[in-house]
Amino acid sequence: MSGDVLEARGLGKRFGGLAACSGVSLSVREGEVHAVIGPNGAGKSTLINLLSGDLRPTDGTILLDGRDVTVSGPDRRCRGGIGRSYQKTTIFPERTVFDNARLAAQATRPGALAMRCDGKRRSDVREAALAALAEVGLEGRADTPARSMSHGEQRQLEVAMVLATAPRLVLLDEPLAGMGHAEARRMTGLIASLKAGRGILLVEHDMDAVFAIADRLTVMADGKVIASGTVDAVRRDPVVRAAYLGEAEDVA
Amino acid sequence: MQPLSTRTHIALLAAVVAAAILPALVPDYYVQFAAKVLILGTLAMALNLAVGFGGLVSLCHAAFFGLAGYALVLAAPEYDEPSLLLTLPLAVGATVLVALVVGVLSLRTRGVYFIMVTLAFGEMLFFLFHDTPIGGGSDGLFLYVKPVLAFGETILLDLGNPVTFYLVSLAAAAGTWWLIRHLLSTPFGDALTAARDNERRALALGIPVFRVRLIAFVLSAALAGLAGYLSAAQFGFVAPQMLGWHLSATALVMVVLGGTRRVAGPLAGALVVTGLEEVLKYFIDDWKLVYGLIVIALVLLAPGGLQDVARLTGLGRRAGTPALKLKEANNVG
Repeated sequence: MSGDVLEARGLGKRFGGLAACSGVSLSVREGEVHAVIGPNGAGKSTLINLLSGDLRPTDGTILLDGRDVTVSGPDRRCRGGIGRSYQKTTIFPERTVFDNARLAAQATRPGALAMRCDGKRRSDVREAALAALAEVGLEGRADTPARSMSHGEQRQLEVAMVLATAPRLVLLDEPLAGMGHAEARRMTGLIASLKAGRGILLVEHDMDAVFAIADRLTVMADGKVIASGTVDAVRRDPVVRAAYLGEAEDVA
Repeated sequence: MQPLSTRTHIALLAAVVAAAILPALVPDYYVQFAAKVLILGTLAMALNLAVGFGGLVSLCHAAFFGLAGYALVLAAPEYDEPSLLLTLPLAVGATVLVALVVGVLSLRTRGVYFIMVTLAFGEMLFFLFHDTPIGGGSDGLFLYVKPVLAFGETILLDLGNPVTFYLVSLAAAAGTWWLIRHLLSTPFGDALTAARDNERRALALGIPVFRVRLIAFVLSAALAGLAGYLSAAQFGFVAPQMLGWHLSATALVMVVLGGTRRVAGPLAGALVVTGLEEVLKYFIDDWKLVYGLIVIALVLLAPGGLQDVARLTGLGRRAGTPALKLKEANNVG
């Protein structure tokens, strides 16, 4: 499909005898939020790690904008346009908010490893970092040490860092985990606003948020895709209701 | 690079001037001692580029130090002055090549495995010179004539002259300090410290962590080689002990004592370790026992290195590093 930012075909990952992920095919189009849901142990995090390059797939192909990136490491995939957040916030807590964003903006631009110019003075990097902070609403906190911010703000910062790398595809691994209600609502709005010009792949347990912002939905169980399609179609799918949503609605 | 404040500028200038006129003020013996401190300080600062800023605890830097020393002695004509312009690039170049191989192989490991692999490579180089005839075996080799920097017939620098040698060592230490400081202010330095702080995040931001670490490791080895070259030239003698883990560990003690977060910290560490040895040797027969106890006490009492001693005594207040300020801000909050 021409509008696909990402296409994964028959993706599989075995850890010894355990198939954490097998035969997973999905695509993310530009301008959409594609959510992946499923019970714990369904292989969602493995899938994200396969797509980001943190894990190398044992089977399958990954295409980013039509280019095969299956065997690239995470750093090369990032330079190619895949940015990700982690389930556990992964930032540089000892540095300021601005410095976090600056490192991100610098690493994907020409001269990323330059040994000459003063890294703190490059205006293109500076502007990209500030723009990314503005996009997540942290522009006022630029000089705050990252570690002294709230959990929710730290997650926003991680998203800003991802944005500063100018990604085509953003992978978000449970971005709402551990957030209070207000924080989660703000983050949900933020995620919905990111999709312009990019593709978003979202793994999330918060069903309200998923139904609010997902354009398409893929449901996983036991490392396999059991349903995929528009949110309404998946919600009506009897297999899904039995395997997953039914339980969730009972709990709710 | 943190912009230097005017006061720091003045202090720095005063230190350099004092160091430069030292030979006019003290007897020759102390000039030689100061040169030794500067050379070991260069080694320790070089090591700290890997340890403190790269997060790579290497136990083979003495091997790079010794290798460059051997390269000088082996390349030197027996009764003629070796040319500084020829032998120094040769010695550092040889170190760079070996460091590339060691780095490519050892940087695939992490943490304690990295320490062990570098230790193994260091010992391999030690035994290469200890057990084979290429470097005179366990007896080592003498360098009868010191290197000179000559332009035609005019001798510009004669390392055989103690004062000249001291000034060259001072330039090497100052140059190493400046180079590392500069490097840390560049995008490359950002990438290196980012990989140290969080490798996973660094990779996910597109930083080629392996390549960055390899470059830093090789640079650090090259600077250790510079120090080793000077050390061989100072004593006119190289022996396998120069490459052994014992010196690697001593350099690491200098780094830890001096503090890893400042470029010049390990230089102060080198002064303390070498000075302590000098003083204790003079007064006590079993000096190594006392030396060991003092080092343990220093590490226990000031885990952040001498920087902490300076901070605790109030001397470091004026120029608190951003990291310290941050820590203080957090204690308040």
